[in-house]
Amino acid sequence: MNPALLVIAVFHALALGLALLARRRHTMNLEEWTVGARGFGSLFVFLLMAGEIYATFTFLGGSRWAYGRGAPAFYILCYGAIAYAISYFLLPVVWRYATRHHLHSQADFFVSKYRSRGLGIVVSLVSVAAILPYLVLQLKGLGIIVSETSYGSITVRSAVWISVVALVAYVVISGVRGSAWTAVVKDVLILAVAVGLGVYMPLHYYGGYQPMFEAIERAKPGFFAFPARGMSTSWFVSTVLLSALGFYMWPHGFASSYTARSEDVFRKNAVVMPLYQLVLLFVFFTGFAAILQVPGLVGADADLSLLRLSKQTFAPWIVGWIGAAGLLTALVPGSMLLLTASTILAKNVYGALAPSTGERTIALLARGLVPAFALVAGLLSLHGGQSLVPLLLMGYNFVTQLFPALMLSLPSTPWATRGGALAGILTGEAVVIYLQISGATLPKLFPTWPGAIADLNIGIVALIANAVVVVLVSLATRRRSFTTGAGAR
Amino acid sequence: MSGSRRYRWLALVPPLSILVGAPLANGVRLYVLGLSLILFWFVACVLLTSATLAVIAALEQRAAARSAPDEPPVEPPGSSDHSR
Repeated sequence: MNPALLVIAVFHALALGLALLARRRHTMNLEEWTVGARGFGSLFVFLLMAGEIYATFTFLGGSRWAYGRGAPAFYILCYGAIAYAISYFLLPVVWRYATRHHLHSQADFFVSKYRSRGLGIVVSLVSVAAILPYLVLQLKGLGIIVSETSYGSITVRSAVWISVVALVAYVVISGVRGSAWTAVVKDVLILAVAVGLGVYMPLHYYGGYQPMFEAIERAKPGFFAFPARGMSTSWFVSTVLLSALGFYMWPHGFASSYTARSEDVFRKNAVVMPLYQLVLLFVFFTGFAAILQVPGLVGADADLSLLRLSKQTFAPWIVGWIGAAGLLTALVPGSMLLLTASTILAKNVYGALAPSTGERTIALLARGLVPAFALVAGLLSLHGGQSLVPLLLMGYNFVTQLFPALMLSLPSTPWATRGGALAGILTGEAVVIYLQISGATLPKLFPTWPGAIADLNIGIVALIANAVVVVLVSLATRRRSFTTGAGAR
Repeated sequence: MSGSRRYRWLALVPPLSILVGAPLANGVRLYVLGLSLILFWFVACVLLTSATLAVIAALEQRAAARSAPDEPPVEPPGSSDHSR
């Protein structure tokens, strides 16, 4: 066994052990399994939220963007900060309502606010359509990281299946507590590894940050500026805004806010999270450092810039730490995604279609769905080929479409109506799918428009269409739904 | 939410700084603390986000302490729908 593999195995065992122990002294009913009986303090909620935000994308994607694209990578650093500012005001309101009404999922929120199980089913299906490819992405990333850092002694295939078994075991047994405890190991490790690499690489190869930036600027003039067209500043502004609005619409992130003990947790976390966001800066540094050291990685290989540079720089036992951090950045969000998808399929889809089902049966069904969902994700990550790419690209836009209906539901009497919410979400999703399948871009649709408009992120189109439809349909159906009241449940 | 909490608008400052600063700092060849100007600006805005939210949280706490038992407003009876 090579030293790298040993380090990875030890951390994997540690995370799994903690996750399984997390169950102790807790009866695993639906309330405990999905939201930890709403008893998590600031630290655990922070770990959960940081755990799912800083996924494999942080590691591989963040360094790949920095390596391959330069300045446009900075959007990843910026949208989080804006999302945290939103969370300061949004999450306490969501939490108060969810706690009062004993909600377990994001779909529950829509069901309860709009008194419509049908809307719950639609939201659930949208969520699962976004979650599945995201989970597959985590597993793919995990496979790459483990096989690279174990120097090929573990194949992508065995890495994926070993981690799927571990995920299923601790999600079924410990629920959200398992995720929170693995997040403890993961966050300490990724902080150390990301900051360590980001400090060491520029110093080691270039003698400092400014010399590094200058060397890259000489080799690739304009690399640290947004280009005039394409990924221009107008692309940046629209993408940062869209991503910030969609940020907490991810069903697993939204529902993890339910675990908090009090609403103050979110105010504290909103202050701390932006600081933690700076981890990304160090990931960028590593990606930048790789540009002149391991040049020529393109396409899927660009994902490997951080790992290749690390292998070239360090002894195997240090590379093992990087592999372990990478493994955990997939496991923690993976477990949250798995838990969330199973909960909404059991509660908001099956439970809505068979309303007489009791909560105990729902809880059993949810746990039973975990291995099934994990199996599908595992198979797709190994055999899905390119078929998932469009779904992956659509995932973020899918969940972003929940934003207008969610915001308009926040007043104690929702401003939007059930029909408005449904029509808006369906319109938004239809536009997202159409744009993706047709490959439409704004410059193609409107060739004469100036660059500042043509470069806007095309997801804006779907969100605007969605918002307009929610408002118009709500205005049209408003009076009627006031008089018919809550009869639908 | 009481109307006097105007300081909450401060939360708009960091996001606007990011979005407005991007086109202004773009392409400027200047290094601050070893970072290109635009990256330095973004990092500063991220730190500013944290600081601004901390200030708002502190002001809210003070306001809550002053108006003593400042419980979250009870929702009107019309909204007390039960989820099951």
